[in-house]
Amino acid sequence: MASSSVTASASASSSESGITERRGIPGAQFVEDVQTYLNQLGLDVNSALAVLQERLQQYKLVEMKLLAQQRELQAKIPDIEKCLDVVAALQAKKGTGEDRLGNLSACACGRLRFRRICESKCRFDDNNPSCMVALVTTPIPLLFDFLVETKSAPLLSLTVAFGGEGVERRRCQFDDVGNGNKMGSATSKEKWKKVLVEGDAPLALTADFEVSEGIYSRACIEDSDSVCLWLGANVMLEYSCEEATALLQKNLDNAKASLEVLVADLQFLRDQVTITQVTIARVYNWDVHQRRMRQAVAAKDS
Amino acid sequence: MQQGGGGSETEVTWEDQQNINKFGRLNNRFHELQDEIKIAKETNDNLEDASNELILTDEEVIRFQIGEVFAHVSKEEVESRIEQMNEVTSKNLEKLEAEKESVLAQMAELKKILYGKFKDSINLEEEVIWISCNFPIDWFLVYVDDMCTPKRLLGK
Repeated sequence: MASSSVTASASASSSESGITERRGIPGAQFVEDVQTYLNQLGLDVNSALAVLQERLQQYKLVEMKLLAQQRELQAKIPDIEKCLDVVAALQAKKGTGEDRLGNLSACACGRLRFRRICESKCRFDDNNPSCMVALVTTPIPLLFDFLVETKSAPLLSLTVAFGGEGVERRRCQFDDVGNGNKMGSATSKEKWKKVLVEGDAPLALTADFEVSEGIYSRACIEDSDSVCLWLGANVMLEYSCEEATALLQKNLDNAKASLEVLVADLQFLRDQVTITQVTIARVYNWDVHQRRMRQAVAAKDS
Repeated sequence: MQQGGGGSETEVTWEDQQNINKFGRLNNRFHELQDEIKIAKETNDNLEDASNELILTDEEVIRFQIGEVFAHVSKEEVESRIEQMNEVTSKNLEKLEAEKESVLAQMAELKKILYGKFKDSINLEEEVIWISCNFPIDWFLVYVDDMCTPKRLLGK
């Protein structure tokens, strides 16, 4: 009657299809026919099921390990990308070059003092004592107040030149400093003059970084050619910007490649798990089928 | 008398096995894609909020996060950076959506094939994929899904 399709296809031998193993993960043998599979193993149903279950557990273990590795890599990759961003930003800042905002020179000797709305360093130019050089650390445009005081000779003209080496120099001339030329007396005549100075981008990078949770501190990162990279194991090495970028990029590429291989491994593993599970189902079904048949035969006989 | 019930047991060929494997893999990829799309959408929303805030603020210097630190950046530069990031995430989102569509299409194909062969003996719906033997009383359901281990619902 209901001839078991299993016995009908008993002649078909179970063939081993698929890859036998991959990177240490044993492949699951695909079973074409349960009867021949059991004969091949020489086991009864229960032991076969036990063996398959054990295989499944091993696969699960390996899967957990691989998943943990995958999580690690997935956390590492954004970190490396962030580092690359920072190094790139530092390099970009460096590219704009130092910008000397103002060489204020006066035709007459005198002291020039100027006040800026923002913070900056300022010193006298070594070559020319009547020149003051200011390095600006804030973005432009900014408003410049300067105070001109002269003690001796009258101030004839004032030149504000800005722009550093390699940067276009702009000049503005102030021939009329203050109201009229009432200069030259012993006491200074203070005349503030507001000038809108347009310069180039700021030099040092100002950044707020986290000292502790909720607490941030300001850092003024000067231009430099090198960055220090934390290599792990309490080791930090100084690299030039280009070398640092190259190293970080290489690490990023390696991490991404490992991740790909890992994902492929996981897929292979899942396939083997699926095959094993289906095999367990089929062996069990076959067993149930056999029992039913035997019951039916026994019932017929009696 | 043997209860025919669902009829003779359908054999699982290597091709079927491969189809089941492929379906399982596609299913996983689908779930991963759903998560990734969610994250990409969130990033998009955040960038939009950021650019809105930028329009409202009157500060000239914005603290822009680069890596772990907040660098002082001028407003224009922040604007262009945000625009750039917006482009990148939009393209990413498009790519993910396209992949999701293709995965769904492939899964529908495989469903047709597998349901065609196994009819009621297999279930390929959300979360759970199982293949069963259609013997009326003695059911043995195996969850073929990497979330569940094989379960025997009822004994012999």
